[in-house]
Amino acid sequence: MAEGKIRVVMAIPALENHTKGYLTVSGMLRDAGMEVILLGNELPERVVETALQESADVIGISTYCGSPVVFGEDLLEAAEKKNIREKTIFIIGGIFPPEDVPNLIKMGFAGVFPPGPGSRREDIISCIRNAIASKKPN
Amino acid sequence: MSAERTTKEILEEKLAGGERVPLYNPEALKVIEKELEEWKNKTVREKDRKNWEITPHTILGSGIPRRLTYTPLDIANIDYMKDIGLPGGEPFTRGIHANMYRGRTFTMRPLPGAGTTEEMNRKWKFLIEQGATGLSVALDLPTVQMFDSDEPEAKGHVAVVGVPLCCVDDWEVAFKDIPIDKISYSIVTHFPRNTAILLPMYLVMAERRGIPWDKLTGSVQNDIVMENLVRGAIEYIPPEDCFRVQCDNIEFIRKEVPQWNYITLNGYNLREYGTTGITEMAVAMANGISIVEEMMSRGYDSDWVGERIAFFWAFANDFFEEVAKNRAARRLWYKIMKYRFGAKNPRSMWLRTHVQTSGASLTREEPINNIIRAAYHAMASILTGTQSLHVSCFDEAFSVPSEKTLLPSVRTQQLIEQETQVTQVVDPLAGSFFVEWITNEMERKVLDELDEIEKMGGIAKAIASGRLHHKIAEHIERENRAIESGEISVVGRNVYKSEEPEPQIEVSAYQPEVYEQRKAMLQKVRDTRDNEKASSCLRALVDACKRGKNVTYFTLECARANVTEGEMRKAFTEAFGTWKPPFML
Amino acid sequence: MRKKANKGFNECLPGKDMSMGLAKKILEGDIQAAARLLNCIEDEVQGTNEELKELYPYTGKAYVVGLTGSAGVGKSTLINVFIKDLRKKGLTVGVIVIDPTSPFTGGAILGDRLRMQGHSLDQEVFIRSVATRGWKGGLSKATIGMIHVMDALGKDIILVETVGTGQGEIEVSKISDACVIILSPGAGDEVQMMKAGILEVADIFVVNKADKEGAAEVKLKLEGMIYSRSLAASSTLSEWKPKVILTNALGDKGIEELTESVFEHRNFLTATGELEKRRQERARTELMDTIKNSVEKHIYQATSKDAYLEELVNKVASREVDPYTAASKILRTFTPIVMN
Repeated sequence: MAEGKIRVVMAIPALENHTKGYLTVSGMLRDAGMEVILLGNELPERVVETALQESADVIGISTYCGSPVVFGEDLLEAAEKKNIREKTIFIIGGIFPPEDVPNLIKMGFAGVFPPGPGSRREDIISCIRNAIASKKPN
Repeated sequence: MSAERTTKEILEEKLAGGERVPLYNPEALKVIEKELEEWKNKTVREKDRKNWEITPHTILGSGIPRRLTYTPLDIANIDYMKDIGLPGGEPFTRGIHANMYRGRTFTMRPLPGAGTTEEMNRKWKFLIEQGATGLSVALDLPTVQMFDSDEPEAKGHVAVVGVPLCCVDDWEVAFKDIPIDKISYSIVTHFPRNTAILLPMYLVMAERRGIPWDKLTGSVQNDIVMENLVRGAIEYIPPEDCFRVQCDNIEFIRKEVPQWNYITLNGYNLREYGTTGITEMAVAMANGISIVEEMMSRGYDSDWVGERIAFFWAFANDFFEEVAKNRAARRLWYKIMKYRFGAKNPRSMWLRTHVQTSGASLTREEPINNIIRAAYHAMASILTGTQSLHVSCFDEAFSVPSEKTLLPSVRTQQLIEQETQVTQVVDPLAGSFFVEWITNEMERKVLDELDEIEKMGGIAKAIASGRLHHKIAEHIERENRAIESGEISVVGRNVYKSEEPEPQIEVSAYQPEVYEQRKAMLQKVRDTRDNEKASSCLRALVDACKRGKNVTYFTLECARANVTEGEMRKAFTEAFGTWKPPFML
Repeated sequence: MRKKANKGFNECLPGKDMSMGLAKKILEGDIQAAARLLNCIEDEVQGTNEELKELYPYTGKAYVVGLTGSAGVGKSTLINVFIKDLRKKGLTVGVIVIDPTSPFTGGAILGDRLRMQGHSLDQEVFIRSVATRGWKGGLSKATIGMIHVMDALGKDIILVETVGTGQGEIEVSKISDACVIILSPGAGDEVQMMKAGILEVADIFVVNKADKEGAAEVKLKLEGMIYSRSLAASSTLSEWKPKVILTNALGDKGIEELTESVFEHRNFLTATGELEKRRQERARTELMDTIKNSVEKHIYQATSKDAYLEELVNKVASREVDPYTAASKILRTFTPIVMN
């Protein structure tokens, strides 16, 4: 019988040209039994509109050389406008300065994954599962 | 476009027969064979005998199996002059110059840095004062992706990883008072389309300063593999159109800017994305072959186009495989140019290489180890006679490299050159039974992969089919799994782990005010130019795309009319339509 | 009561308030509510049928077009330009894109809407990516419910995209008013091998990537097969003859012809009363499927913790009882629960 599946929308900022992280993480989430909707390069409000139509539990962003804070702010603002900010879990990974990490968390990202030891397969998957569990009633 | 027979078939036919002069005499080989058998049975332990051949697992490695040891028997068939030859002579296995580094050491290109046009102007002037004769132009992400700084997509990206250069005014500011007739510029335009848009801007800037184009030296990348296979983008044009723009650029540059290097076949970024050294070379050479074919079909001979083709490789962990790679590539490219395309000029048979050491092989854990890794990569490339080298900075794995990490990178090269003395002897590893064997193996495997690509109909069709995309994705996934399972050892990550704290990252910060300044600046450009002229140039560009005229002459006219980069991108899209690469998972 | 694992939607979980209140919102055009109900259908959340019951009277207006073809024929790219053309004609569009779930991990990569992102800000286009999750009952089980939701949301035309595997074509034809089969040049052999059943269900054939070599040949072969079938099948004059259209999704070629053919086919179905017949057939399938699913589900739930079932399984395995007798026993014991 079918089970409730975690649905994830994965995107990269519109101009970002590095896609290895995005592909790697998408594959990991699929292997963890999630349904991953690939969007590729997109603008924040289109990512949100898609997440809304797909009723996604998670929005995952992979960035490399842009400012994650600028994209993150626009993304969360668009989610707020569409009334899905509360119910959606936001995660972001890629290369950014350490001072951005607390900013992104404060902003509302449930998981922030710079490269390195804290960003393994298990870390990303358990972050999503825990965040979803904590959104459930009781 | 594609020939009826593949390169492999042509080479097999043309190189068949003929006298071969074996390097080893048959008598000696017989003795070796007998002795080897005895040694295997008596001296070698049973365990080693059983594991006579093992498969190495490394990041970005091809996994060519290794025997316990190699003897002349493994290369029994070798003909020294035909297969190895002398340095600077056919088949160029040993290098393209007779005196190699005694004549000229490898070029060391400093890191370009990022910033606004004004900041870059200051940085370049500083580097020139320090004695630099060659500089690189790293573009910011919107410029790479052909977006104007004031388009909404550009938000958060302007002047972060490079310099914004999206109209001729920008180029004038960035290159103000820089003697561009004396400085060679490597303009890192990865894609055919952005090459078609940006190089003309550089030329118009020169024109406005009264500098003739035949005085300009430098290079562009201009590579369909970068645009349609390696890089992500919000908007692509179909591969076959992209390939055509690549060839239009070559034709235009060859004719109008005679000293300029019009293509760098980029294996590096494909390799770093995730593939083996074999695929890296096969894809780059497949593109090279498609280009020469296309140019010949446009009525030029192979020497006309072959003379300035350059290649760009990554050097990664499997030391001897990397050594073999460069040697095998030189021999194979020589055969292709000479026997497939009938090149006469030795210079068009040369495989020139720029090497960057692998960034994907570096780790964030214990980053100082990366200096050691990069030194091995650099050593391998110098032992095989590369023309130009960039050693990756030790923070490459987790950061956009900072200026602080640049010094050890430059020092690595200087140290190899000044202290180790390896540059005194040309192709010092030649003649090793193992090195010659693995060189043969690499050449054979590259030719096989090349054959697969050609059977798909050449580079553009192979990209369009999505099969190369899938190949890369599979490699990435397999490699991740192998690292996670420990099949591939990565020191500091999955073996010999320590509790050292994570390193700090330095990334040039985003300056929000730059976005506003750029908006105002571009608005001014659009307000002050002759807009009628600008739009008629754009219309002509669309028309040229559709009618198969050389597009670069029309982007040149656009640049002269102060048309911006984003406007030209839209014209390309209008003419060619959009294409999305196959999703890779 | 079985609790569903791993879900983040409070609204979808069985709780004190059984009514989710989604149907009302959907009828007011609330996209988010529609999207949530689609999740509930997929996850088989309790209370979903209540919502669908409320929507059902408002459905039946949308025209459903199934599109299918092998991987790599360019379905998504074609659908993208098809949507564009339908929007140009003022129609609102719902799209259901179905991809397989990995049998090994239970996860899925859904990459098709990547090619349709140009419509992402158009409120009149609703695209939904769906993974098959190993549906035992074939395509129809969850898809029909999803079609109802999009229908109730007010979409004029609903496109259902699936990967054709031989069976897929037949499945999709069962739930759609028109069945479009997409091929690519070089599918000549495929046409020869095409199972008779597939030819029967196709209303329109599209040969995509028509600029490539071999497109005309595929078209010819298809037309030949359609002709010989019409001879063989002692056809009456009123029978629809499948169209064969050449398209090039990159250059938007042949798309208008596709739209026109879909309309023409609809007019034909309406005029001949065939549409009514097809929809009646669909209603029958849906009803029968629903009965089957309910019985199966109830029996499964009622017996899953029951030692009685285990006992019977053991007996069947040891040849003590035959499966037919065992099944009758279970049905007799548990049918009253179904009746409730």
